[in-house]
Amino acid sequence: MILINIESLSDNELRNIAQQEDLEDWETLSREDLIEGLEELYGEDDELLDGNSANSKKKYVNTLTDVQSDNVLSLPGVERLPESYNDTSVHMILKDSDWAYVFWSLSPQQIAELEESGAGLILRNTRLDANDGPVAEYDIDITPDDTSWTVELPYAGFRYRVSLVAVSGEKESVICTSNTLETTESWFATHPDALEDGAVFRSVFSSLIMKGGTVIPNRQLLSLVERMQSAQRQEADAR
Amino acid sequence: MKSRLNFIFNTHMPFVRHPEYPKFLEEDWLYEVMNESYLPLLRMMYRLRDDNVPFKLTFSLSPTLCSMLSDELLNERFAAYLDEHIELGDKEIERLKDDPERKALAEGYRDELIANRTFYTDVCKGRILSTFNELSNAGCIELITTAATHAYLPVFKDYPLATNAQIETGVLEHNRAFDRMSEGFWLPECGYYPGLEEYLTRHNIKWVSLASHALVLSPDRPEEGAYKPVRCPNGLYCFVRDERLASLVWSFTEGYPTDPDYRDFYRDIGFDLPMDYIRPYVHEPDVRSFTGYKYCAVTGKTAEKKVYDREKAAQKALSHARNFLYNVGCRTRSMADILHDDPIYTVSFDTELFGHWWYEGIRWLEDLIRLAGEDDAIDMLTPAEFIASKPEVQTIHPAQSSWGEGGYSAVWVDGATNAGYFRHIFKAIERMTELAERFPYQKSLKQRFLNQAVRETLLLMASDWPFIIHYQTSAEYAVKRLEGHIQNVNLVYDNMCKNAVNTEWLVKAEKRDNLFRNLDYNIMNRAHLDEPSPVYTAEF
Repeated sequence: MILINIESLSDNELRNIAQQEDLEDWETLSREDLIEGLEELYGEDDELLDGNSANSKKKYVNTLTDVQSDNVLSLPGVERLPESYNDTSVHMILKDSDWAYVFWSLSPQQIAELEESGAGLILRNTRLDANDGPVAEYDIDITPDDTSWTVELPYAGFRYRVSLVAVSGEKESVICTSNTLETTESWFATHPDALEDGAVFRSVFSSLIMKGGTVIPNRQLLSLVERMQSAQRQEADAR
Repeated sequence: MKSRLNFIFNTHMPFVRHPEYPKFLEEDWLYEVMNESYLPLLRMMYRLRDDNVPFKLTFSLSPTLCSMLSDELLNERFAAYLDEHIELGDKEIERLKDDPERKALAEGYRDELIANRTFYTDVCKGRILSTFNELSNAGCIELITTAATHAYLPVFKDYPLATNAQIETGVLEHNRAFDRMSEGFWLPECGYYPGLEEYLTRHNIKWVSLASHALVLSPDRPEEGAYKPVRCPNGLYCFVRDERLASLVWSFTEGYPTDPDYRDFYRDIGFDLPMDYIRPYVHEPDVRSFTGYKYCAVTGKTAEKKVYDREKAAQKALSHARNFLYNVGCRTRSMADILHDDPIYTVSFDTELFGHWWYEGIRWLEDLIRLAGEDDAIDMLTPAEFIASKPEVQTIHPAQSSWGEGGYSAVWVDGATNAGYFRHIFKAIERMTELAERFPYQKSLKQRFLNQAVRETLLLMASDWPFIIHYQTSAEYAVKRLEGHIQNVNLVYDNMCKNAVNTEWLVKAEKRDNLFRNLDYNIMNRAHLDEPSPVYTAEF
């Protein structure tokens, strides 16, 4: 992994990285061939080869590549982390405004029961009201080999939880249920008229507009900005 | 109307300490920022103080960093690092005797190293934390704490004991290091979720800083945006980051540090010169690394770089300081008709951006402070000062947020490279809680064994490992650290379940991961949350 824009590296730097990566004929390759060879090695579509995105942060870097030194390789660690901890559970972690990472484990006893009964597995995502009553749900078919899923939380301002459900014909039984996650809904999403007020933009939104005129790539925020721009266009058209 | 600047610097390094090796590549993360950021910043603040230039800055010093800055072994190694790089400077000056431009740069770097060495030895007496504390005592800076190992707290929302352990340990370690309470708490990565404030106020924390969108996405209507702090319903003050001002500096594509006249970070003789020459100053076996001797200007996205010109860069830093204050002034004037009070601009950064990544950053900051000192329309303030004035502010429910890409948790739980580790991290926390409740108030070896297990659990929770794995910068090391800490917690769990203590492991682990020496594993017992916070009763 090269950590900066590859075109900016000197010939010496490129050659040293090529040597480290055992690139064939690294000593005699031209600059163009070195870049081509390294791009091929790291993957042409690797965004890190294009340098940094505007807000990504590079920290804890003291080499030009992700070096695997002998010291690191000899650090104590485990050959392989346990695949399971002999329990049955499912967890949700909020990734962003409308997606959650879900992971689960099934105990050997649970797996044996499923195999014996021939039941299938589904991951059920339930949207809840303020009293944790179910409002809506959707199911995702999963296999016994799956251990994680990224689940959409389609509506802001609701609580969600997932369950692992064993399905055998018409019969369903809930194996385990996750923690509950909550998505928030901006006041402005429920009061879009306020977005048409220029003073609101100045007092509330102006500190969010970055130097290049963009906002952070946050889906909820972008949605509000789109609404605001749409209101401005309508106002301009009306004039 | 005046503009009030509230600069907050997040000063953090993950706990990296490898006494088992004479030299360790990843330990250089600390030495590089000590040499290029912390010492130059402290020297700059001493200059300002000695020149009677008023300034107010806030520094969060993470407990892991405090542990490392107080560690005898790491301090000895840092002194050796400085000497080694001074020696390299002498070699460079000789090598470049026929290249006056680069020779002058090499002399400049060597002289900076010597100045740092002198300051570190004579002024800091090898104790950087004391020097920060002295500036705090002088009223120039506010010092605050953060989570024990800089854990990204929103992912641990369903683990109240672990969340509390991160916060409580952070607060206690701050008290121990500086002999005073921390009024503020740096939320690692600005990670906030509704409810987190309850853990913070429990330990007498009065304020935090939030990501820029925490108010706009709130279910309540924000009145004055980021220009005035708000309070959570439980009274915690929140200072919201001004993304617009931060982007003048922070952005890797259009921020000040990308200016062609500034020094290029990546062009370094550690990668350019033959290995036979550079070998004593890099790592075994022939692993090239940064040396700090860099002779090129950013120039552009090209391999043909210009030689760095210090004078030109200094002029640019001054002009960028003026530009920053110009932007602040324009904003304030444009808002004068709608704001009720002088606006506060909260601008927060990682400290290592200044000096380490952006070589001229400290000069920029010094110029900015000196210019602001001469400008009646600009004040600097710290959050504690603002709160002491008993201001009337809006009460609001901030939204879940962070300053990571996308504004939530997708950097630390990306679903691809790092998310899979959370099943092990969560299990380690659950096991630690189980042990604390099954074996409360143990003495002697078992107590030490369990205390070490909590240290390992806290280290496991650090935000740094999933961050590094996500950005693939030193991923192999981060994976090893995660796996190692998971293995350690599991080892203690397996032993305790057999009513045994692995003393060989314990002695080694205590020597290696020697931070938080007052940590008590009962912090992971649910009964602990029913007790009053120890910050009110602890002796330091």
